[in-house]
Amino acid sequence: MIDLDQRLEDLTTQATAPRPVPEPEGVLRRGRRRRRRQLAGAAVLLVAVVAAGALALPGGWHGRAPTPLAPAGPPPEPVNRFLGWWQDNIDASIFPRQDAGAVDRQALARRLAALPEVDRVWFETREQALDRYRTMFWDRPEMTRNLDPAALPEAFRVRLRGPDAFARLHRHLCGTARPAAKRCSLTIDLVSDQRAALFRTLSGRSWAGRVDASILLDPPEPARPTWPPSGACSRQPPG
Amino acid sequence: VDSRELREFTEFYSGSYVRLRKQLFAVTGDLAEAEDVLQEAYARASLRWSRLRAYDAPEAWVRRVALRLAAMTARSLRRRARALLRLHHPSELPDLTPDAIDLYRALPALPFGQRQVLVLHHLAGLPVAEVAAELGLPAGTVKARLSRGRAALARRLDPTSQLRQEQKGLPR
Repeated sequence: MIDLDQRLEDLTTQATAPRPVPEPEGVLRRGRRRRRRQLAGAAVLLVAVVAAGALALPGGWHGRAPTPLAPAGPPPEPVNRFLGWWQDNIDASIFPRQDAGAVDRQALARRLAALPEVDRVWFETREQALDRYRTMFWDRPEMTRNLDPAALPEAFRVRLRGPDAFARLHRHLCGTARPAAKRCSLTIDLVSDQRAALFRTLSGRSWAGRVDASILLDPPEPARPTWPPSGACSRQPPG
Repeated sequence: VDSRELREFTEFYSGSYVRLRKQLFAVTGDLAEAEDVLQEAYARASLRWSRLRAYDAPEAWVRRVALRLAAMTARSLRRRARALLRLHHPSELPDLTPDAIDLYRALPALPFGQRQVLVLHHLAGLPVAEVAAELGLPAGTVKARLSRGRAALARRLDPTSQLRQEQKGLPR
């Protein structure tokens, strides 16, 4: 039998001793940076709550949200749970521009609800997205632990009906049948085909037992400065 | 943080860093990654030092956090890349004795859980009950992992059993 105590001690001493101990100042700096990030995260959350409150004001949004995620019987695997809910409820997501105000959003909501190919539409705030994500992955704490609420975008989630519904929806909103590289319109950042995204993820190489749920949940949306709003001068009155 | 607490923290840091770095190195097998998770754990400790200093062993707290960070493999891959970029040193090992090299090559073959338990018991010198408490595992699990880990290491490190293994693997 080997003398593991001694050999582990020898190995780790030999391997680590030549590197000097870093100054404690580096650790303290890192701690301060961490605290600042936490504060910034809290501020973003606050802004999101206020924005959601503004949206819920009279004359605001009356979309019907789908049944909440309540698995009956033994909970299925997180992946199935997630995909099942997704397939049943969402065909497309419309991400409003960050600088779109409450009025723009309400107009967008009314416009969406009036479209013939839209079966159902509701608005999902950042917190709701976060809640859903947490519920889905209640048994995978490593996937939710350090999640930044700001990473989950708010969006109109849409259930479509009819053939080629996504293409028609996209043409209505952005003028082209499929997402292009540039921003969709003055108030919309991106209209994303969730079925296609789901399919891509399912058939892609990222689907190796371990789900990178962020791919499913938030399409790549680079953070854009909210001020000054680009194109503010050329903005047309709505309608 | 007042200056007395700051001084205390720096003393705690200098007093425990070398020890914890060895342990984290033995668990992760990579010096850059060990240092990075450790720095992160100390940074978090510095934020709540006024509470931690009252603990019996703040060192155990730092170790627990660092081990947890190291366990998040998906994240740690990214972190390893970042750490390499930041520290600007490829994770090359300094000169090791042949014995140490053998052990270094044998360790990554063990599952993370076994490595963790072996390091806490044999390198940090914690008794089984404390290892169990620190990792939040039943004592039986710790014992099982210890004996499996030791057996696997012995197979890899002991040349005679190594030979037996190879012979067994030969086609008939």
